[in-house]
Amino acid sequence: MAVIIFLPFLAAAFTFLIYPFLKEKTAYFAALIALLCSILILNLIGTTGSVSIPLFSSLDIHLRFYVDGLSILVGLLASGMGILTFIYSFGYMQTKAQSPTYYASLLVFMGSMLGIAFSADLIILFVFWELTSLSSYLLIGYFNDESSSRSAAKKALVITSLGGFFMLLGFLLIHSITGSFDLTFLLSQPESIQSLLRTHGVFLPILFAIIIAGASKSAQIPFHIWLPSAMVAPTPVSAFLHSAAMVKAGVYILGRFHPILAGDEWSLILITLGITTMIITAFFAVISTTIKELLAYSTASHIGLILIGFGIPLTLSGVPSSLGFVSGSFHLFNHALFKAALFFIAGIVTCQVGVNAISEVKGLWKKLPLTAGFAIFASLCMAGIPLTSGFYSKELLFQGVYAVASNYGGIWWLLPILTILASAFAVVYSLRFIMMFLGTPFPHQQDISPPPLSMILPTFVLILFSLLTIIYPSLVIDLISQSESLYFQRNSILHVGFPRHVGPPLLMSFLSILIGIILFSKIEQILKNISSISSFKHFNIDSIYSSILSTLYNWSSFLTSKTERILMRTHIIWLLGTIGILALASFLYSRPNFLMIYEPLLRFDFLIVLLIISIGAMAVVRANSHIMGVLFLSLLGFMIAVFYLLSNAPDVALTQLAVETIILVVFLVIIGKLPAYYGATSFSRVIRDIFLSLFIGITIFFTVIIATTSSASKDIATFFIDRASYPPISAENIIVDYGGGTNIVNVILVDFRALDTLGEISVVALAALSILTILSSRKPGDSP
Amino acid sequence: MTTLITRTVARIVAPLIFVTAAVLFIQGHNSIGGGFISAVLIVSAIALLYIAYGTSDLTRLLNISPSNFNRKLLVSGLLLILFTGTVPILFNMPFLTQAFLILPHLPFLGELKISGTIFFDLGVLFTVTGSLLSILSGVSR
Repeated sequence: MAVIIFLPFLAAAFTFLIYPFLKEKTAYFAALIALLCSILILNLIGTTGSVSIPLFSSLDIHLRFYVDGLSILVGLLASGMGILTFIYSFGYMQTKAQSPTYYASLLVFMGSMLGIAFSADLIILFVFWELTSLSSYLLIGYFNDESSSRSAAKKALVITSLGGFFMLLGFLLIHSITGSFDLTFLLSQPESIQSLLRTHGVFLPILFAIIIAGASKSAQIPFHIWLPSAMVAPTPVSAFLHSAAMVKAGVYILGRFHPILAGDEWSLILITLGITTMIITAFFAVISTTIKELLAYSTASHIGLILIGFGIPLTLSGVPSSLGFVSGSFHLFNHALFKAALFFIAGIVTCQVGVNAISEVKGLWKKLPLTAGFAIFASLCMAGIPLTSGFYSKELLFQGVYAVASNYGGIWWLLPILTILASAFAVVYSLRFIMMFLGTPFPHQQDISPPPLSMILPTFVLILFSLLTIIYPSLVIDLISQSESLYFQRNSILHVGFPRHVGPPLLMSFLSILIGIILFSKIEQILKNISSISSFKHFNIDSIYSSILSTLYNWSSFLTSKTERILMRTHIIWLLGTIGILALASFLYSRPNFLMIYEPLLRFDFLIVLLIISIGAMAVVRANSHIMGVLFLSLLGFMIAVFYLLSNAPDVALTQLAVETIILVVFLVIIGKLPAYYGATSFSRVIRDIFLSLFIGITIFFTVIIATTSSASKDIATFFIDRASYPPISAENIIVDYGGGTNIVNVILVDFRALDTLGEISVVALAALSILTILSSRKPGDSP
Repeated sequence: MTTLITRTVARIVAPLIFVTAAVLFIQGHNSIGGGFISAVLIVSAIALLYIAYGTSDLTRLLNISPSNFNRKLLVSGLLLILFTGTVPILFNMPFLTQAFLILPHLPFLGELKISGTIFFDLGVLFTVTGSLLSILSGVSR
């Protein structure tokens, strides 16, 4: 289980090793990995359950994995799309700048998507969620020479990590009430969890947090702005991002929490959000000018439709129904197939024809007959024309929307009307896409070569799967129902396929197609009128986003100018001052009881060492040159080492000695580059420095006193002493529970508290790297 | 500072420090020593060589680009811990679980105990050595 998720990450590390040998064929290596993942996932079909591997057991964080229909569906989409995307990349990237980073980040992207699909631990889920943000940042900004790439990548990162922040907030709230990060546990009794959350009054905050997280990732209004900007990414990345990753991660998280959070508020918010996004972004798609922009907005619109599906209440007119959940998931699957195909086709068009604007392409069927056929089929799916896969899922959703309206009545009748309108828009933009391939070609677009096999083949596979879904829709439905039956009672077998009788949903479909065709016949006029008021196209959220961002920039640069001058001492004042205030404030707050222990200090040898230390400290202050100061300072350090030695801590003493030596060497190296002395100091600075040092001294004094007197319980000490060395009797050769060493301090460092040590040396490494960064950013001639 | 005396002393002392560091590293589990101390000792020996011979001579001698090498050392230490730490996960135990192995009847050596923490300690050694050396070489540039 864990293998499926770690495989892509491991492979990502390997790409850097094998890239020099394989060059662009790395794409096939990555495709192979994706294939392996999908085979492993296919193996899981039909199983449900969870695996748990302790990771940080003391923090209640485990590597938990959970398998059910929905996670298999999303996992299959991610790995399956992964295969096709990598194969397609081989053809697409041949004309572009290549690097192993591309394949590695795409593998990480896929791996973290699989991680999201299968994680059952909320913290692990969050980590994978953030990993998709990070890897998509690298991928969207892949062409990092262009500023539009960089700003689009930043926009996606800012917006989706904002969502991630809310998600973490929601998860922590869930943990604070239920005491569990375990999704398996939460999903095993969704109703009681929900009532528990409600009685504690945190249900609504959690609901908002999770919905914001999902909406930001799946590009719902007002977070939709990153999606059209992200089209600057390489086309295979866009295809993956829109069909199987990122966007679908947002939808998945909403589907995952659906059983726990479903209720009146859930339905109201999701349906409102979904319909708003669906209609507005569909309109943007209609009036968009470039191919990828059209597809990007249409994705947001279709996701809106899926959210409406998830929002359909679980009981309609008193009858329990899982219609919304199933139809939403089904549409998720269909959308992935046709949207990826359309993106692949868009990539072929831009690569072979060399244009992005829709209006500049016409009659491609003559030169690219196969592509044109695929494009027409996929567009018809997108439009939801009868007898296509898109039609099936749309029909189910129409049914749900109609049921909601007839159940609640009143203003809810707006819902089917708006849905029809948005679907009509979908027909219009699908027709616009088709029109690129029909008609007579422009005379200047005569020399178009057919696309390479590696680009047309993935498209063909997607079309094939769409056809398969049309013939056997039950394959997908059964997979989804497998997870849905766990949470909801099923009341009826859903009928999927061409409706047997004429009902409201079918009428809605035909109405939307009719309106769509009428609108399309007037498309030229509409576009002309719209272009005059194009400023409202981005709903002005883009400008709100950039103004928020620039305000934040201004604030932070204002703060930086106040706290971080070029002078090192300004840094240090703020740093030390803050630490001191925080430490003292926490002591004041917690009020630990401490008592002074004089006994150990009364030993004669200690007093001598202390005396030397005090004299050395005075000498440091009085020293009139750097060299003298540094030498006295290291005298202090060596005396402290002696102190450790006297208190029976040879380990610490040795470390102190060695560290002190190195510090001395570093100091001596630097000294040559320092100015001779600071010169005259002003009176005010002396006063300031005195206060600061007094303050820091007091802080450290109290910290030491409190830390040494508030000893931990005796149990932990005896535990360490017992367990550090060898077990009394043991038949086994490999022993885990015991440390196997007689130096208890070291055993604690490397065994019992190894995670802490890892954290500490990571800090050492980070400090070294930042020192290097500071040193290398220093211009020659700058004062140190 | 690069007098003949310094050079000669450094040539004799530095290997001694390296050996001491190795001994401290190996005995670390049972008495004084450990990855951190031996890392610091190694760095101090190299610092001694730097002072005696200068950076450029030493670089030519060892035939490595110091800053690059140091950074690789640093990262490889962290990665070593990360990878060996994930091994217990495969056996259904928490991250960074440590175990040790007792080989009771070896010829000449008798009973030998090998602790899995040696990898962790090696990681600490690499990381600390790499970090300190990068700081040192960065400062002295």
